[in-house]
Amino acid sequence: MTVVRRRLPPVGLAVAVLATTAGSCSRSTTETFVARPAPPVVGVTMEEYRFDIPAQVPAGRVVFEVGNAGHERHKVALLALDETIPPIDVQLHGSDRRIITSLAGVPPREPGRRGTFAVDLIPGQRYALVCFLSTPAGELHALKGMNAEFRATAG
Amino acid sequence: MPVLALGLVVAGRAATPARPRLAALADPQRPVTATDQSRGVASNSPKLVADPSEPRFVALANRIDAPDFGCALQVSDDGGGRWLPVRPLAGLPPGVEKCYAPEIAFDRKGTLFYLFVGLAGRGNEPVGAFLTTSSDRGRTFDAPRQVLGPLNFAVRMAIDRERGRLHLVWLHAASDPPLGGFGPGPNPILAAHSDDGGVTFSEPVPVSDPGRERVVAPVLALGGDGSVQVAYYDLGQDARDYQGLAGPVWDGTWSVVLARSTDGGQRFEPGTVVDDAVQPAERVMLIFTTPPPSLVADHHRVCAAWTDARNGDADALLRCSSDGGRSWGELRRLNDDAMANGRSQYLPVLGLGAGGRIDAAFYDRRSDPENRLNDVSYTFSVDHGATFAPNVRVTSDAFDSRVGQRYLGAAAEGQVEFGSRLGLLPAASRAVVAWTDTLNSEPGTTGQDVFAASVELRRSTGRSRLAPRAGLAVGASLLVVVVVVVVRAGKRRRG
Repeated sequence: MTVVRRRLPPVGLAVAVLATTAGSCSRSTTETFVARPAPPVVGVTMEEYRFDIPAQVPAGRVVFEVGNAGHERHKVALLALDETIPPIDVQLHGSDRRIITSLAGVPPREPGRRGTFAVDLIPGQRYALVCFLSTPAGELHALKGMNAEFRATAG
Repeated sequence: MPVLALGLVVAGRAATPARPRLAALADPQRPVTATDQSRGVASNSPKLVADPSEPRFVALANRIDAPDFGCALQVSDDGGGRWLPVRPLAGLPPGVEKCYAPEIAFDRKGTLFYLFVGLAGRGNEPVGAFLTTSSDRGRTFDAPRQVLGPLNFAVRMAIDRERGRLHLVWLHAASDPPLGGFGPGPNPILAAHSDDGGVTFSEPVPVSDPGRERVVAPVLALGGDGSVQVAYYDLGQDARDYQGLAGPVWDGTWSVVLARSTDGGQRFEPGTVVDDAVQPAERVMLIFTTPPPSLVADHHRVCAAWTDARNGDADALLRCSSDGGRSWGELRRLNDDAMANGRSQYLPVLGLGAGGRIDAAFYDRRSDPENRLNDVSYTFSVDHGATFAPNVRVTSDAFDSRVGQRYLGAAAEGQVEFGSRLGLLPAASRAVVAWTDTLNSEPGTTGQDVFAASVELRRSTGRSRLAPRAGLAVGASLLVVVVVVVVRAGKRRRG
C-alpha cells in the first residue's frame, strides 16, 4: 500500500483529517466523503376526515411518514391513477367502477401512532392517498373527504 | 429494630457487577426497500456491511422472492438511517436469466464486492456464481465475472481485509439435483480463496467431513488472525429434508459442525461438533436455501447461533468457544422469554462489536399467543457470550409471518418463505439491525419489505451494588453498629 504524503495548507489539512479513517490509507488523503442526497421524506397527517400532504411530492425514491393526528383509527393506501380516471374524490363518489391497484400504504393506525414506507414514484404520474376504513356508523372515510391527490414532480 | 432489619436486607441483597444497560432506540424503524404491492414484491434476507474506509457508508444486499427471484442492493450514506437503491448489475451475464442470493463485503480499501448466484430455466437452476465490484461506493460497477460454475449452492463470501484475501464457501452438488432436494452425494461443502480481488481463485478444497452425507447451509467467519471458520449443518439421518420429501417435522436431531483452517483457507481440519442435539423447529422449505447458523470469530473466540426446538418451541441458541473452535462451552438461550411458552424465536444473527462485544438479533413472537406475529429482538454480551443483556424490542409493530412467497413442493407445503437471515451491523456504541417486515402488506399477498433500525448502547452509571459475600460482611458490620448504638442509648437512659 502506498501512502501519498503532501504538504497541505491549513484548510487542505482539515479536509485531509476529515477524509482519513482508521485502518485505511488507500484513498487519496484529500478525498472527502460526498454523501448522496437522502431520499426525501414526505410527511402525511391523517385526521378526520382528510390527509394533510405537502403541495409538491417529488418523484423517485420517497419515504412517506404517516401520522394519525385524529381521534379515530385511520389507514392510508397509495394508489397510482391512470390519466383516464377522474379526480379521485369524483371517482370515489361516482358509479363507474375502476380497478385501481394499491402500491403501498400503512395498516390501520390508532390515534397518535405512526407508520412509514418507501416507494419509487414515477415523474409526472398521478397518485392518490385514500383511507378505506369506515366510521362506526358505516361511513367510508374516503367518502367523507379522506382522500388526496398529487402528481409526482420531476426533480 | 428497623435499623437491624435494614442491615439484614443489605446482607441478603443479591449483587452483580454493573453491566451496561441498553438505552431506548435511537430512531424508529426505517424502510430500506421500496414497497410495491401491485407486484407483490418480496424483499428479504438482508445482509449489512459497512465501508471500513468510511463507516457512514453502509451497504445492504437483499434477496427478492416475488414476483420472481432476484437480487438487489441498497446503500446508506448516513450509517443506516436513509437508504437508496443502486444497480449493481447493468445487465445479466450471458446465460443468466435471474440473479439471486447476493452476498456483499468490503475490502480494506473500501471496494464493495457483490456476489450473486445466476439462475436460468423454468426450474431456476443455478448456472454459476458471479462477482462484481464497485470502487466508488456503488455509483458504478464493473462487468460481473463468473467465479463458480453450475451445481454450486449457498455461496458465502468474506474478505480478510488485513491480508487482502477473499474467501468463498459453498455447497457443491455431485449431480443435477432433482426438484426439491439433493440427490445422492457426496455433495460436499467446498472453499476457495482469491488474493487478487476475485480475478483468480485457488483450487477448491473440502471443508465438510467426508463421512457426513447430508451437509448443508455453510456460513463463513474470519478470525482476524488469518484463520477461517466454517459452520454448517449435518442433517444426520434426515433424508426427508435433505431430499425434499413429504412428511412432518423431523423428530431426530441435526448437528452444527465447525471446520477450521489455520492457514488462510488452504486446508481445513476435521470438523468439531458445536452441538449434536439440534432439533429442527419446522420442515426445511427448500434445502438449497436453508438458513445457515450464524457465526462470528475473533482470534480464539468463536460463537455460533442457530434455531432450535429442543426446549419445546423454537429458540435462538448459542455456543461459544474460547480456543478457536476446538471445544465448546455451555449452551445459551439468547431469548429471555419463558421457556416452552409456545412462542418462537428464530433466525438468530450474530455480530462482533467494539471490544469483543457480541451482538445478536432474532425474530421474536413472544408477544403473540397465536405464535404468528413477528417482532425483532436484540441483545448483546460483553463477557464473551457468558451472559447476555435483557432482550430489547427493535420493531415498532409486530407483523404477520404468514405473508410471503409460497413454493410448490412436498417439503414446502403450508410454509411461507421469510428469507434466510437478518442483517446486523455492530458499531462502537450502537448496532443497526435489518429484517424482513410485512407490516404494510395485506394478508394473503407476497409483499415483504426490508426495514432497519438502530439500537444505541449507553453505559449506565447506576448505583453501586455489592457482591453477595461483601453484602453479608457489610450487613454484619451494620448489625454490630446497631447493637453498640442501642446499648449506649440504654446506658444513657439509665444514667
